[in-house]
Amino acid sequence: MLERIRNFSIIAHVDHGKSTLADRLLEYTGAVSRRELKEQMLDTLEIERERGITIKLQAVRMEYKGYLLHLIDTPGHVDFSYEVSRALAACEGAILLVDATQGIEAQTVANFWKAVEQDLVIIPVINKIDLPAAEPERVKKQIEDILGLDGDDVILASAKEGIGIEEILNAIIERIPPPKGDPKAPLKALIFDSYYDPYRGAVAFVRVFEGEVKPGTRIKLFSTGKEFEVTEVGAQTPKMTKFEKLSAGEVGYIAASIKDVRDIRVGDTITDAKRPADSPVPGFRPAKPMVFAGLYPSEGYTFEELRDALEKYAINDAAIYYEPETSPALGMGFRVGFLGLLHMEIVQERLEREYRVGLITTAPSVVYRVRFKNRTVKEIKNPSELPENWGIIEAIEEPFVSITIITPKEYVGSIMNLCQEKRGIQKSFKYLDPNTAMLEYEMPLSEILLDFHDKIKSLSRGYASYDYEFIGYREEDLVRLNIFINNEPVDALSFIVHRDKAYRRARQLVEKLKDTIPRQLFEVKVQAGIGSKIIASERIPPLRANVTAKCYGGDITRKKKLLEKQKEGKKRLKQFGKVELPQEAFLSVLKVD
Amino acid sequence: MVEGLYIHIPFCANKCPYCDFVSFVSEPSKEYLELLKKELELYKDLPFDLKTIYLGGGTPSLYPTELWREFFKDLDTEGVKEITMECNPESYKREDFEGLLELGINRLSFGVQSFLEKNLQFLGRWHSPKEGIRAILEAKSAGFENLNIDLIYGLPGQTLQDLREELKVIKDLPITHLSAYLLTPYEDTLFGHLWQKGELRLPSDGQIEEMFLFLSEELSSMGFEHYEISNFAKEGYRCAHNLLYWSHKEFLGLGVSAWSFINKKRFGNYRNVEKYKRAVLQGEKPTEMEETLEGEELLKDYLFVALRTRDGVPKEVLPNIPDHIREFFLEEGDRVRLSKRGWLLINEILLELWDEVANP
Repeated sequence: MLERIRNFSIIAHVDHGKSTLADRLLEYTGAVSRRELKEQMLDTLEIERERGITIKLQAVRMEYKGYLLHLIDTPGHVDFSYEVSRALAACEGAILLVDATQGIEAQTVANFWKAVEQDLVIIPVINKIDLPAAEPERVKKQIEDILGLDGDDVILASAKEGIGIEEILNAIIERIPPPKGDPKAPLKALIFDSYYDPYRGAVAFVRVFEGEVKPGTRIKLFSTGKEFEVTEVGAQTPKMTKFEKLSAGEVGYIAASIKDVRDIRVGDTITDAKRPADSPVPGFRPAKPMVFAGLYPSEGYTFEELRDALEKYAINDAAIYYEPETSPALGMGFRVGFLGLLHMEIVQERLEREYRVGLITTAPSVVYRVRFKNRTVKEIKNPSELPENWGIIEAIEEPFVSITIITPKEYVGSIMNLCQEKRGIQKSFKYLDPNTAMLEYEMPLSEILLDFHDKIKSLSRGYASYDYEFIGYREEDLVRLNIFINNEPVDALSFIVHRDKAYRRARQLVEKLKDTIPRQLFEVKVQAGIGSKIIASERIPPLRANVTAKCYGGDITRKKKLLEKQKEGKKRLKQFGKVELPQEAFLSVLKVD
Repeated sequence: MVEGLYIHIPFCANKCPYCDFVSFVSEPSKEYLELLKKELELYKDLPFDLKTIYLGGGTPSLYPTELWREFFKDLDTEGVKEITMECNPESYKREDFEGLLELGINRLSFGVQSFLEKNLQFLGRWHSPKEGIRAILEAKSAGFENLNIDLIYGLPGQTLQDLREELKVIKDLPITHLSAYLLTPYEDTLFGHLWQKGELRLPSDGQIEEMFLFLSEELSSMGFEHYEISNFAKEGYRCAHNLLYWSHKEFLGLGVSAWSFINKKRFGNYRNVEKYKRAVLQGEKPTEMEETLEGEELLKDYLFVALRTRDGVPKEVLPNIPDHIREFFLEEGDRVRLSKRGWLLINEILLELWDEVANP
């Protein structure tokens, strides 16, 4: 039985055609007819389709020439690299898909190495060979030179035109080894995805490594010890299809009336409560949010509506973290932790679109680690949590990432400048081919949050790609920049910045505040300082005229309404001392570039 | 008691780019004057004690004086002290002015807007500076004692020197009243659209302040009292009709888009001529909108109009002026009013006061 199973993933850079290839495979093996194939079957969520990226993993079972093929889909973005690694851990092989017009990009390399770490058999495929700009020979050479794969193994394909699909299916059967495992051994199943289903509860997608699981089995989660009784097992074909059992080597889903997706975390191992395995599948680590932002209800929405929406949303996203927070400017809201910027955007969009709540999102920030002189350590998710008294702090640490950038050579100079400006430390620099360079840097994550993406894309006209991974916390010379409005410190506007950048940021910030704070009836002084030492200052002169010039009998009601409109605008301002600050002033703070 | 009667004439020879009053480029219609009288009939049960009548527009002076004669024939104007008509400088000759005077009209308001050719062109006016002067002098020699001119300032690129030039002309004119309006790019006017597209560069608020204070000082040295944000009068010549608006006195408005304030209610007529006509012909009041002012809304409305004047409001109306806007107020006897800098910022100050009224 195991002999006729193949478990594989498709790994690729964003937009290299992974979903289209998956669709073609489903269609070719008859799992789905062309008519049923609504655009891209595997990307179930609306947003995923719109953005052309895959967020939720899914696993589909196909039959081909008497073999059972399990295609385990992987998310294609840097934020979900841990999820990718778990999906790959469930496979024996991977199709490495490269766009014939783009060549190898940063995520291609990152995902390739993840697959190699899992000892997967790699089937290199060059996609989109039908396009006029395709350069299959150049890409093939890149695959040989950069990844060290044999050019003779490369399959040329066009998922869109259906070219090379049969060859790929045959390669899956011939090159990828069957899974190993003993159906009689104690149950050991790796969770590589989960979702919440209103009928089944939280559903775990698993790869069974040892043993078997069926309805009635009492299962136990390795990391928490929590137990549940299985109500249903099955696989997506691609419809959710019930089976009698899932055995070693197979991929499918387990439902067990689990109420919370947090009970079945990606990377955790499911075993039989009555006959547990000795050890879990290695590599579990709980999702750790790296990027935090404040989410607040926008005008016309309430805190309660936002809370309900977040609670409902979180049922389906175990990676999200949230806690209530109150901002003097924005009122009650939540501090929400995300895996990264894209995850943050996705959550925002889904809350607004599916849960219909209007949001104000503050600029994203990282979690700083503050070491105090009394040897305690505090993690700071929000700059306003920083202690007033700087003297008790021994050091501040910030998260660093290792970032790999692949770019056409003509942009190398400006990208190196950007990385240096972003406090990057160059780790390596090599040419992948005469026209393409690969740079590696270590860089603070906070610098990436601050418009790194937009900058690198504009510097390289969209050609450079990058991928990064968290490598740990490092002590840096960070200071707290305080903002004073008419000599009053505004805590909600204070933030942490590297000392070398403090002057520039302070200047930019006071200028930005000068532009966003509407002129008042009196002069307003905006200052920025390290501690109480002022390093930048701006004056907002008082407003001199705002007058309704003409007002007679026929005008009064109309002109009053015009004034009421001005008042609506003022509602969004928050009073600080005597000064009224608009929300934009707050939101602009971390967006200074 | 209804003390004022406003009559709106919605016809114009052309549409000015800054004007947001309801007006149509059309020949003045004789039938419309009939409708006005029919409309007045609908209100005959109101308690009238008419003191002022104001013919505004649009352009009332588009009608030949004979038609006005007919209109006034059966209008009871006994006891009315001030009857104003708005005139375009190019409309009437000396004989016409004499005719108007015979009808009992005793105040003319000329839409001069400027005495500088470049400004008149920018404002899309069809008369020349000379015609403006001629109209005033002819009206005066026909026997009008009480003459007003409208002026617009705060034009793109306008300088204090430009204003000085205007004032040189004004100084020698036999006028008793002057309205000086800051150019405002209202929505749905040509200037409004240009402004929104960024194609109309208005002076900064600092420049506006400078011009406003300059005008105020220069005119007062010429004997004009600055008695409302945009209005200046020689002693004894404040506009009685407009003062009704700013002191919450009752007035009735007739005609398309005209508003009334009676019994703590502001109500406005149809802005559409056909709808207005249909209602009046069917013997129905042509009211399109209505605002009832109760409690704090009445007070807010009162502050909105009364703080525009030099007389301000009784102190007991504003017992708690918030500290941060205190500096913009002046006290005089039992009354409190806005200073000139306060007038310039009246919108901001009203918003603060409204807040204070809503959350004392």
